[in-house]
Amino acid sequence: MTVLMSHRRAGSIALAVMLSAMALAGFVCAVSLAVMLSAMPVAAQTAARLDDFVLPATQPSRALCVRDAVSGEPVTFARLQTQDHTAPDSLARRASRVWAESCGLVAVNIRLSITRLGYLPWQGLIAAADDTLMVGLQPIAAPLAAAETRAWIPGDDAGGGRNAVVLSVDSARRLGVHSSGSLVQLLPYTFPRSARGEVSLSLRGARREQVAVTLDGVPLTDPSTGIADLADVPLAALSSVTVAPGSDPLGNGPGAAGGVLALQSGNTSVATMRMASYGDRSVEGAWKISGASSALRLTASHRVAQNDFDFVNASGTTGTRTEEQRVNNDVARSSVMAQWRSSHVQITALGSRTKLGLVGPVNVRDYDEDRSTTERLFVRASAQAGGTLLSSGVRSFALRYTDPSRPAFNTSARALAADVDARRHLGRLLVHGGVGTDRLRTSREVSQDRRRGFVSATASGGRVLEWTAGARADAISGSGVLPSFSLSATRELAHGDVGVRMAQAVRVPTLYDLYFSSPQRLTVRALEAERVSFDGELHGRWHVRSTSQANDATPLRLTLEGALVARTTRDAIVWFPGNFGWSPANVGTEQLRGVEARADAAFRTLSVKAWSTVYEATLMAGALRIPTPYVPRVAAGTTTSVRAGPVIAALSSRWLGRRPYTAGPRNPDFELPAVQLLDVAVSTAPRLGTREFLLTLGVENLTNRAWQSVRGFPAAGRVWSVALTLSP
Amino acid sequence: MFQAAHTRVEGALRGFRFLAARRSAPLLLASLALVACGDDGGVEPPPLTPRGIVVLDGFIQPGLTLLPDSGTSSQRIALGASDEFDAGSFAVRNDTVVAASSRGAGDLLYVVALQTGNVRRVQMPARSNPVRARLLTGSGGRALVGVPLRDSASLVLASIAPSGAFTLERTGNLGLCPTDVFQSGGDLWVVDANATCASDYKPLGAMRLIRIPSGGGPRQIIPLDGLRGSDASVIVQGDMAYISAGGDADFSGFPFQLIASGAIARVDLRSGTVLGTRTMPTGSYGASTRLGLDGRLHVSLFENLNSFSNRTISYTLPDLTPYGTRIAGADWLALRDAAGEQVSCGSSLADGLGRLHCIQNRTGSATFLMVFAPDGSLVREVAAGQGGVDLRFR
Repeated sequence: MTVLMSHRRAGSIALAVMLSAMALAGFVCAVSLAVMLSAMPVAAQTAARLDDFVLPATQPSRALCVRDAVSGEPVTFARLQTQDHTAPDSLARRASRVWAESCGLVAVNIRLSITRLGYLPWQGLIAAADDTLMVGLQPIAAPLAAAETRAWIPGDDAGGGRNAVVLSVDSARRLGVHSSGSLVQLLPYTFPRSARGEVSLSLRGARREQVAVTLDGVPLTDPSTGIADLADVPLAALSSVTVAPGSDPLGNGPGAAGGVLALQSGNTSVATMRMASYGDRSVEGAWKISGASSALRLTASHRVAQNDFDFVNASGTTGTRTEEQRVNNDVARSSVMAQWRSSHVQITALGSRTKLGLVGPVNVRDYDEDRSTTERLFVRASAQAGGTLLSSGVRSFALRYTDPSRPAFNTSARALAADVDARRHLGRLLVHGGVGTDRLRTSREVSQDRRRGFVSATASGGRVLEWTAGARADAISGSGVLPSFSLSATRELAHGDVGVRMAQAVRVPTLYDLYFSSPQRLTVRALEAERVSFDGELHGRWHVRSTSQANDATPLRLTLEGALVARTTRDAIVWFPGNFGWSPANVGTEQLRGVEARADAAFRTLSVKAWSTVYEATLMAGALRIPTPYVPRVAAGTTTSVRAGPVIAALSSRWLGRRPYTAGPRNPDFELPAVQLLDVAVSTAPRLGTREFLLTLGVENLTNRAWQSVRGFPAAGRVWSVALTLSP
Repeated sequence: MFQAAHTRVEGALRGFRFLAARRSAPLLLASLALVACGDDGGVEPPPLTPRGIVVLDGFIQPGLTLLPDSGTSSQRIALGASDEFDAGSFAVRNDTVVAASSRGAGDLLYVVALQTGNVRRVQMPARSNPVRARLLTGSGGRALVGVPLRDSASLVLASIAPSGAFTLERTGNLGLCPTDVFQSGGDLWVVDANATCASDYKPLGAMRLIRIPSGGGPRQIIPLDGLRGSDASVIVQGDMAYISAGGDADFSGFPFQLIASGAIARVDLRSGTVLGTRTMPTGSYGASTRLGLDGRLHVSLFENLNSFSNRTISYTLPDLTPYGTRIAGADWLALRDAAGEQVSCGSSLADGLGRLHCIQNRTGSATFLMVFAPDGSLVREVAAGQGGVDLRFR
């Protein structure tokens, strides 16, 4: 908001005022609702304090921890409530309590209900046992797996009913990661690419506009533009990231045809300073203030980088390799984020402002002075009223492009989206519905307004065979009513599980499709929504863990998992640059066939993670067979880390096969060469009292490999970095 | 120019921008196929049928698709990455192809030997914004290529020795936006579009033809009244030059506004006088001209700014009289497919038998070569690469 208010132009100020008013109104509503709702359980809390029913002196107890079933992250401010009459008489029969922390002691032999904003409720009997009872709450917004209770397996991965992988930010920091953009580099199955400081990615052979990015289950991807720059989100704001390839029509609706990158916000205080090559400096921090039943977490980050790195130009006209230096490649990015959460209300606000030099391809000097400024605002308020979760949000995306050499080409665009939705359990059924609107205004007289609404129903169940099924219908102006569905089932085995998932999904044309990708707009074609007519995967996971040792160190833990995947998309919306309509079109059918595999092994202090993908992603347009740009047929990655006393050393490797970079038939002349990249990091985390100081030294691209993630835009060679992270 | 946009979109999320549509779109449209074969008017009688057909794939995977006069086989020569090639036209002579990329695609001259497939790129001055390249007549066994530089109001003459060595000579003070060059009577002639090509491509007035005497001396400037736009090209036949301009339109809002249709001026180069101007049909936009082996001038244009249907008008020379089997009440040819439906295609060019060759981009920008008999019936249809923007005979 502050960022927007600093905008000089009157129109922007007006919009900022409007946004501020909307955000303030949402905030006031949410707070009012929170106060109102909070008043209800107060009486119960007063009558029956936690100690009365959870930890009576004479009652056997058991440790219980509440976790996010998908990410494995601790869930705080969960509400615990007794459910039946089996509790001793000394306990209140309907007593409830909000836990400020994620773990505690509970009385045994009582039936407990655990609820938390944004999660499916959990119910179960607290049986007497010596170990800690781990309760995994299933996020409502991303129904990737059924709620489950099981012995907790430490580690980064906690995939659910699909081939999903979770990476914690804390572990990533120890491997040398210090930005959201580089965070996804460590994720398996992801193909991030960046030309000018921004980060977008492909999942499971999909085009980048087919990937949804969410923060705590809420889409960050702007419905108007289809754009979500991961780098806008401060790393300090996050606790983990989940990559979930494959369509997710129920959780994310239109736009998640290829997969979801789900960011989970953090819950602790942290501060980081980082210095790296080419003038890269960043500082960020998160500060948490906890109250009795709520917490406020503030996050801020600022990063500047000159990025004037040297590179070898092998495609000049001289026929020789020349050493050159990038110019106009600088980045200045500031982000602020505030989160206020209690058991019934959660408010998140994220604002970012990014200034970029728009350096052009290596042999093009036309963009040596071009600049862009991007501003993003995201406000979301959620409140729980009875059994209904209400949410409302506003997203604003603004871009200014300047060309000092040709001011006539200066342009600006602003997209605004507002949404309201509600979800509630009706018996076994989770019903979710909402309405929204988005609008686009540009300096080139382009404008569009669009309304949308949806309703979905999801059911899950089963014990031996856990299943989830659901359907969703989206109504979007200009696209009509678009149904989609998802069906998944997972069978637990002695040492793993097998599962199958099928879905249909849609992606409505974004305004990005209609306008942004067609700078030379002559005609705007009427586009149909592209439909994923089949998205399926058959996956299996096998894990083994040695438990013969008495100490904490796991002597051996091994997880193997793999998936056969397929996707068919008809009426694919693809822009063929330079076509005579100067607009994207529904051009044909996309088909994906592939295999994903992953291994995760840990032996004492050694950890090895490896993954590989084999994709054949092809667009069939008339007689043309066009591989999806920037999707390699074969790719692989490994992360190896070893702990030696207080020091952790890590080596990350990523191998990308040849990548086509045009929307044309497969042709070696138009492919980026295969590349292997090596990153190393060494970290140590001494403690001073309760504070942990994490010092990380890293070298990216250790072998100084010349490569490009986007054709014509060389990546930096070897880059060193040093970072200090303080965790109070 | 469209390549610039492509690069941005492919390169980065913030790569999009709304270019000044009012002025740059006309340029684009013109550059899609607009080129003059000033060098095709040789003294020897032209053959009736071409040795082969060359299609310029201008975007996605820039290259040349080579097709024989019959059959479905084809060969391809890749020109380079799409961020370094955005030419909308090319010239062919003696199996040598020349084309040029604009400032948005690296300011490059491309010289291609069709026999060997050898591609050579020559760097033009940075941000000089070439529009096309022309094969001129060199001396001393050297080939000569002329490259007008729009943003610097100058012309580069690239002299190529038999060894392949290049020497570049630059001539300046060529109006506001030079877009084509040719030789006649030993002199060098340059067409100035008289538009602000360095900024927003806005036409400032009538185009001009500039004569640069070979022996030095003052330059002659011939106003080309009735010719407006941001691009113009020339076809020379004998002592006569046919200079075509695509016209002017405002694309900044819907509906698009046509300011001036395209036009062709006939100039007597000996006297330096404009003998007449043929304006394209009312409501049409563009005027991309090619000289066919049948000795006629074939003009590709858009019927209007609503449907953007490609049309072809064939003119007899020198009087620029419409010729051929035409649609009733219109000047453009009646081209029909096998089902009798009207066909929209561009970059039209006829061989000595009167068979009109043109290209059509379909789903996925897949390009097809279409050949029509003199009566307008389709006699050949063959795949010809992807992203086709221009067509020439070998």
